[in-house]
Amino acid sequence: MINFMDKYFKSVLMVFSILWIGKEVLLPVTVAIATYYPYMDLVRKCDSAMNSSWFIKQMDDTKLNKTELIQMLDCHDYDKVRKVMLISGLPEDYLSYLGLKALELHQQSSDRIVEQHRFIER
Amino acid sequence: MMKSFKYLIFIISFFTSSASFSLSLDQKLARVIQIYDIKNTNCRESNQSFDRALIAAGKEIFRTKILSGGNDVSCSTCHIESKNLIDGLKVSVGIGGTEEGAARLLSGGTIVPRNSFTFVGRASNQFKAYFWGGKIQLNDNGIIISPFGESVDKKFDSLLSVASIMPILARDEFLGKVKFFNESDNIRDINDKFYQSRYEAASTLFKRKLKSDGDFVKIKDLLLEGGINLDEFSMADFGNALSAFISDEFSCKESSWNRYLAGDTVALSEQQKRGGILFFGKARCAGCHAGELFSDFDYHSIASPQGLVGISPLGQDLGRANITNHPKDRYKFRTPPLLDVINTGPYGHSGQFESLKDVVMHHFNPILIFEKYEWKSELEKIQYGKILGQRDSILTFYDLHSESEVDDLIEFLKSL
Repeated sequence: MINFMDKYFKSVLMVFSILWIGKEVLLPVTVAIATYYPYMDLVRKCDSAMNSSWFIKQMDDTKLNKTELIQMLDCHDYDKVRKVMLISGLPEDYLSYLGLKALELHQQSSDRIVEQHRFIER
Repeated sequence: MMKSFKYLIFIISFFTSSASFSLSLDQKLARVIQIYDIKNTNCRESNQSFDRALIAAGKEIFRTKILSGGNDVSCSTCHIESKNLIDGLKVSVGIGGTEEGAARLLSGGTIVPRNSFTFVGRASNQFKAYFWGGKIQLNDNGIIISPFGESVDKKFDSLLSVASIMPILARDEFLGKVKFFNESDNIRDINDKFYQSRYEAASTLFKRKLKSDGDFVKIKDLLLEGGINLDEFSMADFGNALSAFISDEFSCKESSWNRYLAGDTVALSEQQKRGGILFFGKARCAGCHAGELFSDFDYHSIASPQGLVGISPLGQDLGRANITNHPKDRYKFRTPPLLDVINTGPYGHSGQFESLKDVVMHHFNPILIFEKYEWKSELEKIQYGKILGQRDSILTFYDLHSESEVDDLIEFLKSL
């Protein structure tokens, strides 16, 4: 009986350990890897959509209003991915970091900017 | 143990599958269809009204050259059936021209200084304005506005009927050249400053020709079979016959987009679906290319280069302002419908865009075309600033970021 209890306890412990590792380690790491670029892309897209929306709303042009609605679907996607990342256990700070990184990705490196000012020959 | 592991894999793959991250392309297009209230209407059921008894007569009138002053031009000269109902030229060549394609441009005929258009979708009851400047249009009260005035439109079956006879009354397209001797009946009798007078004169001339047993006997017989009373003949009968033929023969063409709207989700490729979302979204195309025919039938300028010829003084083309005389309408043209657009180049009122990519990119960046453009004249080069100044402000709101998005957009256009 004790032997059986010991075996049962060990099995349960093992299952819970695997689930815990899965939830706390495997899931966040996998989601972090899978969403790394898509999330940053969506940050940029949603940022762009909100920016366009701001100006289009001020124009109050019926021709543009529907196009703005469609573009804002990018923000829906962004929100959805963000929620998935949070549910998966990724910390909000990490998401903020990716948001900042997304903006950096679309900035020019100083090397590229200064390259055109160098003498090629004299 | 294995079972727990499988569950874990399932949960992880659910969270990491792309479907769970964002709306699928089909889901987004479903939103597009809902927001724009796009319907897959039966083309034949949404045609303008026409008389089926006149189809045969319309076919003959469309193809015969005897309506032109020099017996050398028919409707099918510039709307070639084997070329998707266009002539494939930047601008058309009317009377005096021979042959097809580039050879026609060199044949010495009279230039018709605008790009010819296809007939796909032209018979739709959604069509509100014909020709680049919209000289035939339906106003908000359902009244046809045309150069003929209100007194002569009583017998027309439709807006398309009115538009159909315009070329027959145009000097460069059908009438012929004014000469001191050996002038054709058409130019002598019909040419007048006012289209209303041209209409009456043409009705009288063609009634006389139809009643004489000459070249017109075939058309006469077909019109009689169609129930036309020749004693009461007017140009509206020609218009009604032409529009019947165009409606029946050319107007309806099922596209991949139509099939997609009908529920065939594989009718569009993934790239076309991405392009469709851009078209109705951040590329802002649907702002003007709206509705079933992809045109708002309003007038805009994308600052197309003019080329060497135009219908306004000095070879320029003032576009809509030729009709309204209003300064705000200068260099604006009716938004062209986009049905079958991939097969109907070159593009623009003056045909200056060789490829679909050229014209699409010109919406986003009017400078690019000039990397390869050769100014056709000193006048064109000097005048272009005025055209650029009229460029529609709606074009400043697109939000594309990469050439691959432009390629997606073009793929979608191919599905229309």
